[in-house]
Amino acid sequence: MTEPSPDDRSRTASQRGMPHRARRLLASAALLMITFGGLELFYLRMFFADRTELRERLAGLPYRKLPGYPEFLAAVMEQTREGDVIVLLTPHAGFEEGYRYAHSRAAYVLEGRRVLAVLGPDDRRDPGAFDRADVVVGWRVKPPPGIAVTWDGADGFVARRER
Amino acid sequence: MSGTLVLIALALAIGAPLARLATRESNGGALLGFGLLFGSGAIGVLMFALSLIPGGWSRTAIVTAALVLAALAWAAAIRLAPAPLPPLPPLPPHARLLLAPALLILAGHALYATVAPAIEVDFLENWGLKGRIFWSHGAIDWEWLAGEAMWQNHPDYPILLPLLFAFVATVEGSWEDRAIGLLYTAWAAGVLLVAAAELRRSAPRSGVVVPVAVVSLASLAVTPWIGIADGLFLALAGGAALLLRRGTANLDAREIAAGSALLGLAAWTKNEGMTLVVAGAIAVIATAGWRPRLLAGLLPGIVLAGAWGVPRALLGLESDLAAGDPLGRVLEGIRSPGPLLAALGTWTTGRPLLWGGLLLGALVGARELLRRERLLLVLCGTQLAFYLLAYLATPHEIDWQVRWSWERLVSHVRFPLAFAVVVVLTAILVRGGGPEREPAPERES
Repeated sequence: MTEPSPDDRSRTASQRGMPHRARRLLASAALLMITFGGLELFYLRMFFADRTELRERLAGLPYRKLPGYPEFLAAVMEQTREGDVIVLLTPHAGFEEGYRYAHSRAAYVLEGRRVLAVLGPDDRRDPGAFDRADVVVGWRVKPPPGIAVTWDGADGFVARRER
Repeated sequence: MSGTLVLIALALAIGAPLARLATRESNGGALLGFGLLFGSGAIGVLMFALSLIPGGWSRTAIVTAALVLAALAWAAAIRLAPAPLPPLPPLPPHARLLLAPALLILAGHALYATVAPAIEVDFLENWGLKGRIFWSHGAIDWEWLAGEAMWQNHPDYPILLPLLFAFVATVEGSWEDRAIGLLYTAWAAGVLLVAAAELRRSAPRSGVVVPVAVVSLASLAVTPWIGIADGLFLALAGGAALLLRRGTANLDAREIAAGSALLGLAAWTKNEGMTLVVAGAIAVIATAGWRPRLLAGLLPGIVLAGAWGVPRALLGLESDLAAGDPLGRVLEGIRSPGPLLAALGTWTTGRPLLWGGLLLGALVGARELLRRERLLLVLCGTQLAFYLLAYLATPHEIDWQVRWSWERLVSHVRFPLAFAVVVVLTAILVRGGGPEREPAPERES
């Protein structure tokens, strides 16, 4: 008589523990639960979605806390040159109270420019940023005294510093 | 869109022969899947190398270099490829029809991923911003990484994904933040093709069971977070896990080396890849024992992970996790785990039906799962343990950290974990849980 293999032993044990048919039934149930539980119907709804409406809604999401900001950044882009170093002023008092939000979007959108921050994560101001910048831009703040504004819009200004 | 399509085409052209060389794969779908993963990584590494050469990032230079790399990979595959795995029997037509839901999920994901520019905060502040700045600069801007980026943009995060974004923009001639979404669908399709081939190999004449199993994994392969690194990481980690699983089952050092290379590419994608390299090594040892020849297969991952560590160390690009006294925070967190447990209880990953199905499947197939899928269980368990340790080490508020990352982190291991359960369920349904295949003798590869 030959010794049963480990697989044979386990199969015997499995069948002893649970009838074969019940095991298959439970396995089918588990597979269906995984299939339907993981199913993301959102992707299937995309076939029937109004893509233009969805695109406009999604594209505005990163700027929803700063109404008019995309238009302001578009104006800054137009008023500045590739390679310009820009310092951004906003009315936010703290880094996490809005300045980070505004700065990160400006840094991303203003392609080819460097956007310096005047406010750090610890809310410490960096006055040296003014000295390193070619251009000062402000969103919903008044220009600091002593700089010549080169563009003044409804939501902000652009001032090129003489160096 | 053209830059994205060129990236996918060149990734396949480079990656498919590399996959043939490294994995003994013979199945067309799996070659495409592995090809996308290896090829995407190869293009990222190529961009890194070309960044060291002045003018290296012109459109002509990067496309020519990628084509040369593809030609070399094909030549090597033709001359040096090992004996392929046995071919799989074709799926019967009615079983193929059952794959339609998986294709619909992928097509729907592609529509979602490309409907609008990427809007994730981490895309705007980190992955996309880095790609855009590198592309504007015409090379990796190390000065920016070590300077202005230091306080906001996680300069320590690996740069494979930004390099791929820069590749797309360089080919396109303009910054592209909408069509890149298609890359995420391609990577998901890649890891799903690999899983499908492994499922078919586990039950070659399964009829309709394997297609249903593939459909069950489709939604877990795609990621809703377009523009950030989790989609690529999930695909690389999933592909690596399945290769290590095969390598330990076949005692094949070549397959372990290929899986390890994907782990290394995961380390070039996210910091979590560093711990994944360690988790992979632990899982290989726990599954195949202490076999120096197999352990040598883990070297590619260690070398790749270390290669990113060099510039990171030279420039002092530190992780915020390392701020202050991380060890002290971990010890304190272990002593008082209440905040972490409360956060995990609050910010669950949802999907109770899915997790219930995985639990039921694990109970029904517990014996097979523990015996045959130990590698995937140890790999995923170890990686999850690293994630929990990272939560304890974080200098940020634990509740905030868990809220904004737990679901994404779990998605990294959910795919290989689900694969482990699904492949066992497939075996139960097809063969009543019998052995997948005869164990192979140890190879001298």
